[in-house]
Amino acid sequence: MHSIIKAGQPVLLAGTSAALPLAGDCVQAGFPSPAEDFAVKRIDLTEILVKHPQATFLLRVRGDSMREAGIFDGDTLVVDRAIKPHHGHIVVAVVEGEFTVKQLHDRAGRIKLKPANPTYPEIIPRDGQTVEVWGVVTASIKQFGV
Amino acid sequence: MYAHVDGNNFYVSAENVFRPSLKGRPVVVLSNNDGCCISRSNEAKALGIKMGEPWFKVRHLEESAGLVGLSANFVLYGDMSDRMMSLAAGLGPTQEVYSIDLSAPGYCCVSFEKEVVDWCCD
Repeated sequence: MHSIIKAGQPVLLAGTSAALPLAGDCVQAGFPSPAEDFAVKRIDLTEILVKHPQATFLLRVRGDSMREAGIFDGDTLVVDRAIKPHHGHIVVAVVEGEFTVKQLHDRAGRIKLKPANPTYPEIIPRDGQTVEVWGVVTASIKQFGV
Repeated sequence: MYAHVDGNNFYVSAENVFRPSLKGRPVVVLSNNDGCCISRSNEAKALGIKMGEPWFKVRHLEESAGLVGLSANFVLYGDMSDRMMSLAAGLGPTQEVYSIDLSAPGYCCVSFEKEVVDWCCD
């Protein structure tokens, strides 16, 4: 079957970031720190991964139909519903009421959903059948068990 | 000028986002302990189910009309509401949040409905 994303329990995205400024948040009562000029903002992973926080959801992948695109069973997908889907995007689509993650193929007005694993078939909508793109996958998070 | 922003069948709409198989079916969300219907899809309204109607009075429709009753997931509805409210907040200089699915930004913006429909709720 396809990489079906279990939708039972949506995961909340933290609204605030945990990153703090490195310096410049205290009053200096003496010689200013020469390091202050070199202070940089810390990297905020949420800021990098989430462009539209109100429209972004995290979904967990089940299955290996997108293996060759680097999406594996158990990975967490960052799905942005504010991005307009285009040819070549990896998308979460709704096929017969179920979520599936596939690559969107849109050429000459013909839409199909392509898996990234040769053992899975392409999904080509039949006449009158609609494919609903639920959101565009912008990142896949893989965590290693350590 | 005020804009009035109201999510349609809000709890059911929030559930539909993550359960696309429910689309087009009569669905109700039930209050704590599955007591009463507190949100109804348009299809459930068409079956004559009233707001606040006890579940035991309508559950026979599960068999006869394919009605789906869902236990409330208020954490999910709160999160979807926050998303909607923060979008609405960007449309005017001030905002008054009236309830989980109602708010009034200071003035109106025509693109709002499309944004919310596209972004979070269907």
